[in-house]
Amino acid sequence: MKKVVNLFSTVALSLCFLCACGGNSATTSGGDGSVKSGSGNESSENATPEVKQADADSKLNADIVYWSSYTESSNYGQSIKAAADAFMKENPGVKISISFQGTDISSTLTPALQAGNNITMFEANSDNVVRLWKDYLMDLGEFYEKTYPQTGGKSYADSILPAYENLAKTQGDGKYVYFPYTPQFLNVWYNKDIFEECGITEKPKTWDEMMEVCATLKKNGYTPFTSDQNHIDYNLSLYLERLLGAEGTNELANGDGSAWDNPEVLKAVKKFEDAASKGYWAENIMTVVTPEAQQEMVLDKKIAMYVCGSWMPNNVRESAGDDFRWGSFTYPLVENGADDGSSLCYGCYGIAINKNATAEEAEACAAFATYLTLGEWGDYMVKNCNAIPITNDPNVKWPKMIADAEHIYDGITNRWPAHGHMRTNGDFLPVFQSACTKLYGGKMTAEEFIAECKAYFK
Amino acid sequence: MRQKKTTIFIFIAPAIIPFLAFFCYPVLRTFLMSFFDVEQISSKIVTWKFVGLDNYFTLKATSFPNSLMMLFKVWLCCGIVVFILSLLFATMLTSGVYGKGFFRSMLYLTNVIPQIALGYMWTLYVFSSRFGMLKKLFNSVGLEKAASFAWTSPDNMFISMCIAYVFSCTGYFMLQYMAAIEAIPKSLYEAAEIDGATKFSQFLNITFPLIRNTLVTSLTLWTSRVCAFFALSRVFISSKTVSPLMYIYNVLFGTDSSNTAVGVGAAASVIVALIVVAVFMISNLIPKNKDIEL
Amino acid sequence: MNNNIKTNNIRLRQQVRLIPGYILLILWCLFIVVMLGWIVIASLSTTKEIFSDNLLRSGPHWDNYTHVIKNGHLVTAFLNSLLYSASSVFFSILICAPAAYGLARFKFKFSEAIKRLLVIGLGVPGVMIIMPLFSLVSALNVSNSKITLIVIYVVTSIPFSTFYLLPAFTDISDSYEEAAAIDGCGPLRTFWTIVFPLAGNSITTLVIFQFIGKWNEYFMALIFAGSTENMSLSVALYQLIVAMTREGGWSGMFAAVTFVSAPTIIIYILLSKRLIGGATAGGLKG
Repeated sequence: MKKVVNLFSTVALSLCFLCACGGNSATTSGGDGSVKSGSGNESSENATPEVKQADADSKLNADIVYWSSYTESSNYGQSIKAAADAFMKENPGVKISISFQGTDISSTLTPALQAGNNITMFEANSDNVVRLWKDYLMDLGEFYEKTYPQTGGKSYADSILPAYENLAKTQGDGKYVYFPYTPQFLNVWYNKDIFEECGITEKPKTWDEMMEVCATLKKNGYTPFTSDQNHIDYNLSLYLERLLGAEGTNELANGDGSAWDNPEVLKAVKKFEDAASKGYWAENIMTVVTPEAQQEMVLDKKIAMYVCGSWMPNNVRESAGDDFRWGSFTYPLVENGADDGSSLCYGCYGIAINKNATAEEAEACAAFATYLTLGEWGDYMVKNCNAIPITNDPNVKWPKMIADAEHIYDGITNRWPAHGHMRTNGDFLPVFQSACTKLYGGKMTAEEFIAECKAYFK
Repeated sequence: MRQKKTTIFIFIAPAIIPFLAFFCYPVLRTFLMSFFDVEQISSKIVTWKFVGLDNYFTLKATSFPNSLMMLFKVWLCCGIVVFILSLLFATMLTSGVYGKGFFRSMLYLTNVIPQIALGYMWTLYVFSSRFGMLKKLFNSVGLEKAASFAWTSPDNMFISMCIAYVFSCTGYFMLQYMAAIEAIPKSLYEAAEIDGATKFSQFLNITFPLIRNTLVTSLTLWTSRVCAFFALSRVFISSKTVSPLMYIYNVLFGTDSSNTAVGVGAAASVIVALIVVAVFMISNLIPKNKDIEL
Repeated sequence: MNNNIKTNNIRLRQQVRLIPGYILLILWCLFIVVMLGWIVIASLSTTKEIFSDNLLRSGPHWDNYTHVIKNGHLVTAFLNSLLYSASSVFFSILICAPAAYGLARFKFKFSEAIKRLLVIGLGVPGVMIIMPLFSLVSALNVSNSKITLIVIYVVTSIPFSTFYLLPAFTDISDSYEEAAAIDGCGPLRTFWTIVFPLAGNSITTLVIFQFIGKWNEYFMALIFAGSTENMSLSVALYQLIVAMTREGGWSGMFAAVTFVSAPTIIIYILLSKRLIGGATAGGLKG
């Protein structure tokens, strides 16, 4: 019994000890700006940009608190930190403290803003920025007009990809409320070597052409498609987007379920059932667990295609190795489709400024946002994180692994949600994903599929 | 009498006053929230719009009822297995097994490791259909049928998740039962042993009645633990593994682009809380043994 | 002599009867060893090796660990977590043990109501308590400090700790206090010197549960002490896990998990031997 009591006093003692040294342990060694990419592709080209001499004329003078939705240990986090350090050296009047929140920012930022915590700028998925914090966004119109050292004499608005300038404006209901960066989009990723070996030279533009490609692949002993459960819905959702357009697809996901009675939808699902019966999906599609399927695709090199976001090649870079050649084509058009190929599921991260920031702070924030996303550091992020550049400067090349998709934004006039409409109903998503898995796995007919989806809405 | 009142106050006030202030206030607020249309989780009360029971009706049309059903299945099925296993292990470890300390530590280990990492271990290694441990194990003993069982297909995901969950919970409850069993005087067992009573009848006639209070408590603890089920449903993804807490989390904070509904989330939490209370009421009906002197 | 043989016989018979138990225990433990072993080995391999069933093919990769330790602030976080867990467990026992005793021993007007409230507290999902609490904390302007998080940990553990200790004190006969009262001992002193040690088993079990619970707690630590210098180990770990799984660094993820779990496991094994062993040996000699 004594020992229990002993323990209790030991705990008390150690507590005193810890209180005494707790204050000291708070000082940590900050990042030294060096970044490890965690993969084998480190090379001299990934060296951080040189820090210029402190600009004596710099008028910027502010203390900035920056909440990021990245994690500190990620490549992005490390890049942001390094950029902030460099920015502070060049602008001695500015002090930036970054708080890395990870994806939990969607739950932590709101109460912090409401409590009036001193947060000058924050960054998250742009959909979240405009949805969750719309009451805290500064109108950035004047900053979009300005020129910055990184914009080469042009205004900021003229320096970024038009699709994203457009997106920022649309999402802000006519006002610019964030600086976009790290663009992302959905499309079909494929193994170029397999396509070439099978003599497929043309990228399929329609669903039927894609089915022909699948037949050729199958004939040559390859498996056309695979997917992990986390991404399994993309293929069918993109088909439905192409078929029904934004409104129709939205009705499927967020309506009362009657939209599933549309015979066109049944026909579409039938095509997937048909493809499944021909063995166009990997045999283990029913049982692969994220990220097994994408790993299998790049490791065994027996599976040709995967419908996913532009982040996917980066996620498997280590297993794929440098010699894996990624090809990419936009999701093909479908028969009687409402969409003519001018729409795309895309999104980005957005850096917003708190509307309560002073003019001086806002100016410093805008300067840092452009510093981080354009120019040398924008470039650095492209190389180090395999991010897609936001700048419209044609000299800035896309990362090698996704370069095949470089012109994806050309001719895009309409934006679908970053992950498609089917994902805007997060509650329905697991039902849809499970049904897709069974459909692709040949364990479910089109009729059963429709019935299962409809059952959710009853 | 006055003396006694101050004594009671001294004993319970330091815990109960902060409890009322920092715990009951939020609970009350959540309860109220469930009758209002609330824009954001920390919106000021003046901005709430009263909607009566609407939030509760909204819940009916979502996946929440299914998630409750899933939770009930976890509660019952995993509960029975965990209860039997942990009690079995606890009795075993307290009946003179060699290496008791080692076994006890080993069994509890699964509780120390973050659940999410354990979850990935299960899906990527044990249940993997490519080179999973189970697949290899069954193949090596010639059970091809068992080897090809699709542990991670959408329909079987739930069972796989339950196995993983049982595995990580057993140690926790075993430790509780062990503490209770060890409080029972050894002399009772020694006497029974000399009388030639079997282990089973010893368990039935000595252990079981004497740890009944702990068993009843563990029922409530099990319920509240199951209600907090979260991490594993993030790893074992299927329409059949969505837990109520995951549902609540989704409607409160949303996934990347779905809409949030704070009032609905509050209503769901109220229901979950009520279930725990109901279980407690029921377990309270089980008579306690206060008359046993130890 | 005769007696001795008899006990030995009983011993032997006992062990023989325990054989099925041994088999089950050993299988269970074997499985735990295999799965923990797998995590450790995966943490020393490359992501490629994990997914091609070639663990450790290219030798151990210690750089998984150096990367994680360097970028994750794990040492600071470790000290923070130690502070949070130890002090919150200490204070919660300090206030909850007397409360549980009071509720178990004295019947008064609100005792049943309070017990019921405590149970409701057990059932309410954490998210719904944390958010209103945050507005409270920020109104007091004390967010993001170490002390706030400790206070919150203590407060939120009240229902569990009190509820958990209730039966322990109910089970203790009140003849002890009567004896103490006759000796002229005040109620609080009687409690701490006589009754509290009697509940040793439950207390130590609770200490372990609470310590590990707080050690692994994530959400509150993130919201109330999310800054780098106040970060707890679980926050640091989850940030690493998210970053690694998001960017496909699976071996690094397992390295982070191993690095963070290892000290906990070692501390647990060291302590559990002393703690639980001691608690049992002490027994209830009364």
